[in-house]
Amino acid sequence: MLPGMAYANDVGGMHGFGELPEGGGPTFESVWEAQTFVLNQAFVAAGAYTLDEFRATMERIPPAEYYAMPYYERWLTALEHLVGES
Amino acid sequence: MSGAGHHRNAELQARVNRLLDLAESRGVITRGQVDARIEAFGDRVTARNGADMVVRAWNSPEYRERLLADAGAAAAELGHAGGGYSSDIRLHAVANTPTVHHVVVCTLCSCYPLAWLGPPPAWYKSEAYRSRVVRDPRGVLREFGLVLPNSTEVRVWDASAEARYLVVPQRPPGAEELSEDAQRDLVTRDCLIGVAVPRLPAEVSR
Repeated sequence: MLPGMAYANDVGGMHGFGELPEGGGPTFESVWEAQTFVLNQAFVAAGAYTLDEFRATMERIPPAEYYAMPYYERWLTALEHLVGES
Repeated sequence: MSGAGHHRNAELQARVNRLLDLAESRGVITRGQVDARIEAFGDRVTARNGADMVVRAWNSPEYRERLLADAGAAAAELGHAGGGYSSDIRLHAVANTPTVHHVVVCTLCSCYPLAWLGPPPAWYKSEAYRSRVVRDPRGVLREFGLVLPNSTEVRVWDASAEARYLVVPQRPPGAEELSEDAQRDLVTRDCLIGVAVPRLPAEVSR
């Protein structure tokens, strides 16, 4: 990360992200998303890594890749990295 | 889903399957336990925990006071203990008044009171919501169908790793006639995030 470079996750106040998705949409669109969510909780609970490490790992995904990924793919990518599967 | 989307989804599922196997082999969690947790995330069931707290606050000034002073303890009183990721997460309840409306976001990621409300809805995690609600909260709320008078002050709470927020909406006039169960039905997940307010069904408000 270069000095002064913004992390891709820090979007507060930024313009250009378009319309809100449908309000009533489901929490998880696919099974793998829910499984990713639960796996992360379980690894944190087991002490494999901390939630802060998880967040920091996700935030270090290069911005272009980060924005191209669906939300839970970011989680999955960080998770794989943290458990040595990437 | 398109053919390409379908393929992409299968690829992601395969990656998750590898992690599910790894988690099971390391004794972290079994597939059965994963399935059971997912089943427990029925949106309505979990947002009802927050609704429970709100309705109790509507009907008990003493509980309301405790909720606003220490929301985590007030949640535990009703059996809605936090937990999940970390005991460092503190829950804060912020109460709407006739002149102030609260709305919650996490601009950095998707911090959400999930131990109390379940996982967040898709729109809460979207860059569109996170970037814009801090800049133009009235505009965003309008898109959710919530039009606030200009005289109402809007306060936006940016959640973090340590602080999670729960909005305590006002009880709509007439709702005091309803049973607590019926009052709970008025307090949707979106009311607890602050993008909606409880509304009485037409047949009750008449």
